[in-house]
This record gives sequence, structure tokens and C-alpha cells, in this order.
Amino acid sequence: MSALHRLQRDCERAFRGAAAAPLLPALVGNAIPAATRVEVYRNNAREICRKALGNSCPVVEQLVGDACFRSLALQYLDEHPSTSGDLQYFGREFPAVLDTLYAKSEYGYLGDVARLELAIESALLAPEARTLDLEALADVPADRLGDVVFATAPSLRLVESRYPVLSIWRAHQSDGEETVDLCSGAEYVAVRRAGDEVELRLIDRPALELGRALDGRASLSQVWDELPDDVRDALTGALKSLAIAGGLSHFSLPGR
Amino acid sequence: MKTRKDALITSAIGSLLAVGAFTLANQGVAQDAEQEQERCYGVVKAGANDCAGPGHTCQGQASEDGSPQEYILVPVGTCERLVNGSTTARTE
Amino acid sequence: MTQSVAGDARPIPAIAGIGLRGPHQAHFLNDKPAAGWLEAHSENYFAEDGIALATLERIRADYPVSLHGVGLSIGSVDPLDTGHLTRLARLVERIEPGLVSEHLSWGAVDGRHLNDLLPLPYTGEALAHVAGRIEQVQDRLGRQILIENVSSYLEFTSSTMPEWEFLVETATRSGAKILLDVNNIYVNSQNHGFTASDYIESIPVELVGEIHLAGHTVQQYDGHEILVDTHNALVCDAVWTLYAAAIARFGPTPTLIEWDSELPPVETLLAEAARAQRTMDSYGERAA
Repeated sequence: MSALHRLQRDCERAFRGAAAAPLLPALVGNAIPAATRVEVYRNNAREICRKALGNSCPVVEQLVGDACFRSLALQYLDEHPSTSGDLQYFGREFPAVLDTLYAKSEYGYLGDVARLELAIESALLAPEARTLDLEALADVPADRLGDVVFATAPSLRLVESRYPVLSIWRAHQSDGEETVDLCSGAEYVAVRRAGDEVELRLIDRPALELGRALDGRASLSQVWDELPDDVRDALTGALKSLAIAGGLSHFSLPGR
Repeated sequence: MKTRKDALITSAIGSLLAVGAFTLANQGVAQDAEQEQERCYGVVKAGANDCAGPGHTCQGQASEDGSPQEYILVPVGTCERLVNGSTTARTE
Repeated sequence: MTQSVAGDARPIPAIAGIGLRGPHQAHFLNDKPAAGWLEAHSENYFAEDGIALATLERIRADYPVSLHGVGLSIGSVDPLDTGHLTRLARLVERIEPGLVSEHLSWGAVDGRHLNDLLPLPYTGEALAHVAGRIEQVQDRLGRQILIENVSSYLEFTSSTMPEWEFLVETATRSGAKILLDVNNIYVNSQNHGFTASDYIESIPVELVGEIHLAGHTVQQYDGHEILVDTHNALVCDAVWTLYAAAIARFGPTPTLIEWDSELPPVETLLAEAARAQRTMDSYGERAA
């Protein structure tokens, strides 16, 4: 290992909060001791993590408060060190970490709120969808409707929660409600990019399940075969609801 | 003979056609009574790497000593505005 | 090494500009406030189909734009992240920025990223390593880049030369230009005890292609004062004085006001840019 490699490895360990002792002899100590100087970088590492997570999940940050969020960020940094020079995707394991900590507590909704916030962020990074060509769809012969293959919008993200997750999110926007009743039931949300903005819509569970099943490869008939019975019964409403939410971008008909 | 499957698929696609091209092309302005809709940020969202500017400690933070962190994992923010939380947890 | 930039790329003029941050983008799109030029953090626009890049493309029609990378970790011993470099190359192709810059620092080792701009030891080994890496980046991008001096809070006993010599040698060997961050020079002079003007006097005039100005914070660590480059405040008076000395030496130079945290209204940034512009203008009058 080169001297530079060894030095960077010692720095990385010290700045991440592990033992600084191996690094200290490599540092100039004068009026300000080397150990104090290491503290600046430790603090930076923690702050970078906290800010990156807070940027992705501002509602979770408000919900839990500053002190708790900072602790969560520290724990996250320990468990999921960044693997990229681009911080855009840093928080992707945050919902799972929140689930582990809180799923069995009265704060069980936190993981789902984070999931919704990451869905919004990821929709921002996705391409804009085409609009479904209804004229072409109208031309499909009646006996081939089952062969139609629908593709969902590339920015469509579907979030389900046994909590009113969209209501919680909305309550933390500038014009949001003061309180949310956690007993108001499950919410299913379609998130997608619409031009320069991201749109969030409440949908029902069949629409969410249908959206997950439409993968751009399976025909409607094949999708049907895999759907639970209650979603089959609700197919008409579900497909329409997905389309209105902008979740369907195009369709194809094999052989045409 | 037309099966239940064929009938429901036909009905589903028929409902799409009934929605109409205008509504689909203008999802942003269309309001469907059954669906609530919310729009957010877009171009005003802060970039994730902005804090990664030189220096990085984006806010002045007090120094911390080297002692092991005591995690404060009890939420003390706006969680209190979410009511009936414990009931929900119990019913699951 | 240097290649001319393609087609309708707009050069960065030797005037003051400001950093482009997400919350200000709509203002630049819709109201087009008068700013000399804008600098964007490259990584925020890596998603090729995302809203951010589409927005930057529209803003670019109205302002000269430079791209400033924060995550390439050019001084790291890990192999250069070719995915990261490819995304940067594609972005440079799309935006055709007037300038492309990176930091003279490292941020990752053994695949673990700290996402910070960490100092290198000023040794021959580090110099050879980082100069080679800059050449790799310039070859991949097909253009000269600028390399920026970073703020630091510690020094390594293994260093065999002062920071400014390391910076100049790195630029000279790699064929890169220097993005001179005057605030970082001041921060480091206070944290490490050297004379900031010595640093500036040691930089060859022809190497400097851009200057950065930002605000820092004086923080207490274990009872010691350390200047931390927080980018959340106005440029301080001492840094303005140092900037005037830099302009007297280098002449009018593209100068950027950087602000990342606790972002104020665009007008505050423009006022800071106007102050930098006055410094450059008064230099021009004296020189005339």
C-alpha cells in the first residue's frame, strides 16, 4: 500500500468516527492540537450526511425534530456509508432504517413518509412521459384488446402505506392542515413528474396494484391472470384512475 | 362466448377511451372529482450536491467531544400533530 | 491539451458571476435578473432526463454557464470513477460550459465516500498522482479544466512543500489552469499560520482562470478558533482586501460569489457580485 493510500485510509477512518489514533502522528500539531483538527472533519462528515438526508426527507426531519433527525443521520452514516461522489441517491436506504427502528412503535409511519419523499425526489430525476395515444387505442380491434401492452410513465412511483401518508406529507407543506388523524386509514399514492413539477395523487389499492403489474412487457390479458380477484373486479376503475394520474405513457400491440 | 375476463378488459379500455384525450393531455389542469392531487417543487428543489460545496459544514455547528454518541431516537418534532397514533399501532 | 470548445459555447467573461442554486432557478428562468454568468454544481445535473438538467439548458440560453464538480475525488488513490466521469463528460457535451472546474482534493478511499473536499499531503507522490489524474480527466473531456485550492483544517507532517507550490506544480504538470479560491486561502492562512499575500504572490499570473469568493464561519473547537468554509455568509472584509490584491496581480478575472447554505435572495448574491465587479473596475481604471 502506498503512503498516500495509507494516509487516506487513516483519514477516512478517523473522519468517520473510528479511532483517530493511527492518524494523529501524521498530522501537524501546533497551537491547535491535531485531535481538535480531526474533530472539524468528523463534524463535517456528520453534517454532510444530515444535510443530504434532510434535503431528501424534509418532512421526516420536521416530524422527528432536529435532535432526533441528527441522531438518525449518524446511525445512517454508520450503517450505510456513501458509495458515490454524487449525493443524489444517498438516502435510498433511509426508509428501511426507519422501518427497523419504528415499525412496531407509534411512529410506524415514518418509513412510509420517507418512502414518499424519496419517490418525489426520484420522479424529479426521471424523464417526462408521453401522453397515451387514445386515437390509436380506439383503433385496436375488439378481439385484440387483451393483447394490448401498457407501459407506465417512466417517472411513475407508487407508494402504499397503512397510514395516511399523503395527508401527513400535505400537512407539512406551507398551506397544510394542522393535524392528521392517523386512524383515517391506508393511503395509496401515485407520484409522477408533470413538466417542471411533481404531481402526487391519491389512488385506490387496485390502481396501485395494477400500476405495479403493468411492466411494459406483459399484455393486459397476462397481467389479468396474475391479479388478485378484487383487483380484477376493479379493473375498469383502476385503469382509468392510473391514466388520469398520468401513470400510463404508451401502449403497444404485438404484431402491429 | 365472452368470458368475464374479456368483458372486464373491454370495459376497462372502453373507460379509458371515454376519459378522452383532452383530459389525459392536460392532467395538470384536469380535476377529477374522485382524485385528490397535489403538485410540488420541481425546479425549486435544492440540489443534493449543493451542500457538498467547498467546506461542507453547511451550518455552523458546535464542536462535539469524542465520546460515543448518545442517540436521541425519540421523535420530538411535529409528530405530536398526528393524532390517534397509538390506536393505529395497536389495531395492526 | 487545450482544445477549443464546441459551437455555441459561451465563454465566461472576466466579470463577476454567482453560483446557481436550486431555489433560485425559477427566478433565473422567469425574471432573468442581470448576472454576469452562473456556475452550477455538475453532479446536480447528472440525471440526463431530469427536471434539473432541462432547467439548466433553458437558463444556459440566457447566461454564460460554468460547471463546477464537487464529487470526482480527483486526488483519491481509488481508481477514477469512470461512471462519474462519463456522466460529467455527457453533461459537458450537453451544456457546453465556458469553464469546467474540479477540486484539488480527495473524498473517497476503498470505495467509501465522505463527500467532503479533503486535503492532500503536499508531497511528490501526491503531486505525481493528482497531476496524472487531472490529465486523465482532461483527456476524457477533451478540454482543459481548472483546479481549485480547497480550505483545510489540518496539515500533514509528510508535506515537503507549501500548499501554493503544490497547487502551481499540479497545474503546470497537468496543463490545467487554477481556480483560485481567495476565501480558502484566507481560511487556510488563519488555520495554519501563513501569510495569505505570500500565497497569492506565488501564483503565476497566466495560470489563473477563475476566482472564487465566499463567506466562512469562525467556530470554536475545544476552545480553539478554527475558520470553517461554510459558504453561508457575506464575504468578510479581510477576504475583500485579499481579493483586491489578487485582482491587482492577476487583472480582471471571472469571479464567482459562492453561497450554499442559508441561501439568501438572489439580490444579496448580486450585491456581492457587484462589489467584486467594482474592485475589478477600479483596477481597470488604475491600469488605464
